[in-house]
Amino acid sequence: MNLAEVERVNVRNEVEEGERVKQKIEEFQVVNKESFWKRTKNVRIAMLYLLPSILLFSVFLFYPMIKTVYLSFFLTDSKGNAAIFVGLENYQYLLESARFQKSMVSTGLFVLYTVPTSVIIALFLALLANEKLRGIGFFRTIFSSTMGMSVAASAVIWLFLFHPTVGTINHFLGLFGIPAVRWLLDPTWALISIAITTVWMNIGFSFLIILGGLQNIDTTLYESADIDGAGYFYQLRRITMPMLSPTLFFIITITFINSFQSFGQVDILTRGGPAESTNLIVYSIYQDAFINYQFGTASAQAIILFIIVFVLTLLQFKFGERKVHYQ
Amino acid sequence: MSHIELHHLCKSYDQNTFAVEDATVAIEKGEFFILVGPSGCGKSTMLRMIAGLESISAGELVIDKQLANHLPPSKRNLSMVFQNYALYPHLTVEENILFGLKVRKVKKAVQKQRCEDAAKLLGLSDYLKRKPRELSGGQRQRVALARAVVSDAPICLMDEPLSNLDAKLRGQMRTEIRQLQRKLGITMIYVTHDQVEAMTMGDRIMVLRDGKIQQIGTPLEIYNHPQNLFVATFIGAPPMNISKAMVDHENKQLILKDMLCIPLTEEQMKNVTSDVVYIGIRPEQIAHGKGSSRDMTFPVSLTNVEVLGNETVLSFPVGENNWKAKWLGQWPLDIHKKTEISFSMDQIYVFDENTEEVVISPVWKEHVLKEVLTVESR
Repeated sequence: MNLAEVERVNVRNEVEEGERVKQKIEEFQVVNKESFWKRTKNVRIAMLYLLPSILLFSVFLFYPMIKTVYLSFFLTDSKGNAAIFVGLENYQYLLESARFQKSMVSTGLFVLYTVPTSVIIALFLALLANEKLRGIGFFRTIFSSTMGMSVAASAVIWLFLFHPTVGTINHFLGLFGIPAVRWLLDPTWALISIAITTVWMNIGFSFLIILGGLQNIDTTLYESADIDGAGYFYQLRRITMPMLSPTLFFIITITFINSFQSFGQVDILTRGGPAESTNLIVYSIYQDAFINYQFGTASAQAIILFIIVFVLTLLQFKFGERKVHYQ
Repeated sequence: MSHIELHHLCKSYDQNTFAVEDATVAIEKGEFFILVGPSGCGKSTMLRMIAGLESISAGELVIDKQLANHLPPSKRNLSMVFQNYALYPHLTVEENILFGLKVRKVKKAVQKQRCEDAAKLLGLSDYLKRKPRELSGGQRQRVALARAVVSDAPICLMDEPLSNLDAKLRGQMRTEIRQLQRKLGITMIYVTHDQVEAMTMGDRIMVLRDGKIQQIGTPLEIYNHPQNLFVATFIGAPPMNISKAMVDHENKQLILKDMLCIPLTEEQMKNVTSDVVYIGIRPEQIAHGKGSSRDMTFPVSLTNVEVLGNETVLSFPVGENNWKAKWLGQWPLDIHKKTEISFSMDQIYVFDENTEEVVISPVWKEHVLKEVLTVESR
């Protein structure tokens, strides 16, 4: 018997087996005779539990989202009511607008500055804090403390630190003879200053998640590697990083989305200036909508931001996940 | 020549109590040495101290005549198999097996050869490209063993390697590990809480309790000559039956509350100094019906009967304690019925009440057994 024949016999056997299973089930099946009302009891209880979330999401998420899509096709009056339908003109206008293009570039640069830096610093701190040392709990608390701080409070702290004449940072640089930097006033430095603030704010959360990921790695893996004679950096590269990859992937995605959505620190530190160098996209949306009362273009920007984040996140999942080792 | 020596090895985590106290033993080259005891007795700690994963609080560890207290794990020339196997989930079976060799920068050709040999030895050749999560428990266990095999280390440490497997597979792996160790001639130190593994696999057994060594000896020595009450009850299934008995020094007998009077010989009586002792008898030494005149015979009422096909385990109260008897064959007796049992007085163990050390134990005719065997084999 050749291979094709064997294959055919196998397929036939499978079909026969399938028939047999169906017949037996039909023959011995016991039909549930409870009423529809009784049968759906679990579903109704589940809905009851879901109701608060569904309500909140509908009011504060789904409705605004649909409304934003709707408004992005209109010119609006000063109260934000849709006035004239313009189709895709809002989008067309935006894509041609130099201001919007500049905002996109700033946002792109900002994301580039903040995401890798946040994750690398948080990873470094987490690796340090994962060592078993006396009093390590103190450092873990300190390193994760920015998580508990509001955007406004942290921005105000950095506002003082960045102050060109009385700020601590310039004072410190002065000790080494480095001339004062006009942190928030210089168009090239302003974006970097905001990025520094954002990185600082991100670290707490990222640190905590990465530390959690590190502590989830089975210690016997390291012990086994110790017996094999693997050094610290070899273990870091061959064990820690692969085992941590799901956590890192998660934290990179979250930081990435958060960076795109930064608003508070911009509003407090620079208000989009100087020379619109820190006019990140969400701040630009805010300005258009609530200062210029251009709800139509603001909505269109929001939709563009949504699409960009959505597509980039999809790409991340598609290409990034190949390097992730889930257990 | 001793391969591994422990001299008064101690470990204390909190500086108040000992996890391992005063462990002294010499393990021979090529020996299968078993550390056994209930959970929390310090057997894993002792193994980890030998591996170098746990610091040694006091005492000396000598490996290959060299003081190894402060050697890093990789310099001790040993391999270890962990309870959860410690396989790297992101690496394939092959990469897992070769991890240690890559670290040591062994030549590629040698790596390949050793991996193939180990895979063939353990029947893993078809699974080399798979990830650990795609393997069954038994296969993962084999990968862990293969990792120990390719390392070519003369010492292998195992920390309860079979506890995650089901009963059937455990029995199979037991034999496989034992055969593997014989074939490779490595020195094995094997931690387990399972007395069946201890009895069947080991050349010698160390019984531990609360960090202290209770007894070291061959499986039969441990079984036939337990040095104290703990070892007697720990090894053997069902465990040895124990009851308290008063000592009647005048009439040279032991009195078991309202039940039994066990006469002792002059010689045996010399060893018994206290007024109260524990007597012990193995369940398999209790027979059905009346015995000979030298045997103790008495009626008991059964509380439980377990028929296991080839043997039957019966439970019945004796004084305050519940005793068990193991009879060969099938005995589907009625519960709560009276039945007569007997045991030979030569088979009883007597333990001191205070020290719990053995004072009388049955004569173990080892030399007779050996002579019979040699005659037969001729």
